[in-house]
Amino acid sequence: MNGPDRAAGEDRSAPATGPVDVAACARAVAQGSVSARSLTEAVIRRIARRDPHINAFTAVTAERALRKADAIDAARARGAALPPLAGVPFAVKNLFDVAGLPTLAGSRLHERRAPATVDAVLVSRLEAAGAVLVGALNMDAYAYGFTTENTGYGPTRNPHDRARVAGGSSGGSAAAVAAGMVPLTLGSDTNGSIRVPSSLCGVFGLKPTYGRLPRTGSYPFVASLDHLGPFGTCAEDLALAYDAMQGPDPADPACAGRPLAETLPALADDGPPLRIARLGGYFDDWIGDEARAAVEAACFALGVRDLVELPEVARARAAAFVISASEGGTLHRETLIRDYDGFEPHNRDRFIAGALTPAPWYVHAQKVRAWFRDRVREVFAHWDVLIAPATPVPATPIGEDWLELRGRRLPLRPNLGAFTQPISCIGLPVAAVPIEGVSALPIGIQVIARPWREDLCLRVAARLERIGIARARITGEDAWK
Amino acid sequence: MTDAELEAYVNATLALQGFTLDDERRARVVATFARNAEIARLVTGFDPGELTDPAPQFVP
Repeated sequence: MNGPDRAAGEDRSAPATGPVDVAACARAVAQGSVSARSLTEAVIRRIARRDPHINAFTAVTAERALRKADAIDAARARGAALPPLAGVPFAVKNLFDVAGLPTLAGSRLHERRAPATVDAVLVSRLEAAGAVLVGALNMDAYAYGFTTENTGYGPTRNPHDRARVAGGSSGGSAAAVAAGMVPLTLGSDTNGSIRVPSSLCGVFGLKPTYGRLPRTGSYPFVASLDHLGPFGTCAEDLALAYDAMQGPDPADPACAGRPLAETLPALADDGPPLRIARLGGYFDDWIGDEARAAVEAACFALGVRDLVELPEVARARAAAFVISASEGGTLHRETLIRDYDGFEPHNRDRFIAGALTPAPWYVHAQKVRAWFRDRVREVFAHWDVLIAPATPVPATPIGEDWLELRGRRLPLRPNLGAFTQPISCIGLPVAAVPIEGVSALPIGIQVIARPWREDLCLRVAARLERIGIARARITGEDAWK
Repeated sequence: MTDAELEAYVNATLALQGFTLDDERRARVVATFARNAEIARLVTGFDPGELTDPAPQFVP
């Protein structure tokens, strides 16, 4: 895959300790060309050097990481077979439980909470596969936002232009990969929180089907819409991590009891031909020039000529909005009554207003959601994959409130999710894919498939990489001079 | 719903749910709720059919 180049002049004595992709890290450790300890130490040094400029990390778990790395090196020394991700450094959005850390969910209020005693299930599964947790990452408070302009912990800055947002709510997760600090991170996506920051930071992201990956040990936002998934430097990174995290978990009632469906083999792209169409209508109405160029470039490369319109997309998005407001507001109601002043100013009024949602709105929104799901299922009888923009525009300046788009002045923050919200509303799997050569700042597209077909999303993502128009943008040492 | 009716609903529901906000904060919540109501109209103004039930656990 098209992993980024190593940073020039960095860690010359340890050839695989630059910002490479997941497979390269695992291969280097497995072959012994680098020890897990030296790789981990290099990553910790890199975070110390780069993160003050980006503010992606809220905690670095150096001691734990080095312990884990030593265990991997010891296993290799005694000839034990290493698991597939042995030595691969990763970090997680700080709504994942990490034993020994309070689960912040982006809120200063949570610093007072007792530290987690066990890791989130996905953290445990990645570590069981040999990956090495190196820290926790910044986010919009309680995941209610698309910019990671966090008042308590400061904004996460876009590595490609530090005056601009990284996207959100998993902004730290995308920025940490884009800044070359780690090749793999985890985030959450309720309305677009993996896909929006992937697009703005120029990295790959995967929002799996709703119910595919267990959320046990992660702090919720909207239980009926919350998804978890990985960020990486290429489609292969996502497949390796995603395959290691799959599997049922009875502790998450929404998690499907489906068997493992490996996606890595799909990247060879040697399956039956795919029927791919581009989403038009609503998705054309709200699109900026760079996003349009990205979609057109991807469709041209894939030979896509057909345009498909989904019915009532704006209503589906509104349904997701109402459900999010109601469930999120209800979740935080007591905290807001008790500690309004300590709550994130960017979203406390939105949470309160959400808590006041009349029940008929909520129930009707769930009905609209089910109706939309059924209509989109009919579309997937004719198509395997749908292509859509991920964000209307590339990264906007930190502090910006408004978006000028095709002659309209729109509130910026909610509208960064205009294209992602209707898709996650019905739980479809989506790969966010960065498209090269269409704009100065990164911009991505959504590669969407029917439920449970993450393999198709990643297959098309890998094809776009192979063609040469999809590529993660990872900043190197030059960015800091 | 008129602006006055909307504000009355917000005030009553805030009290019912135990919120005690000063006037400035209350005004912000009223404005936010008004935006929510506008978006909700897109939902409530659509008839998905009698047989469409919201699932207690959504299965895509």
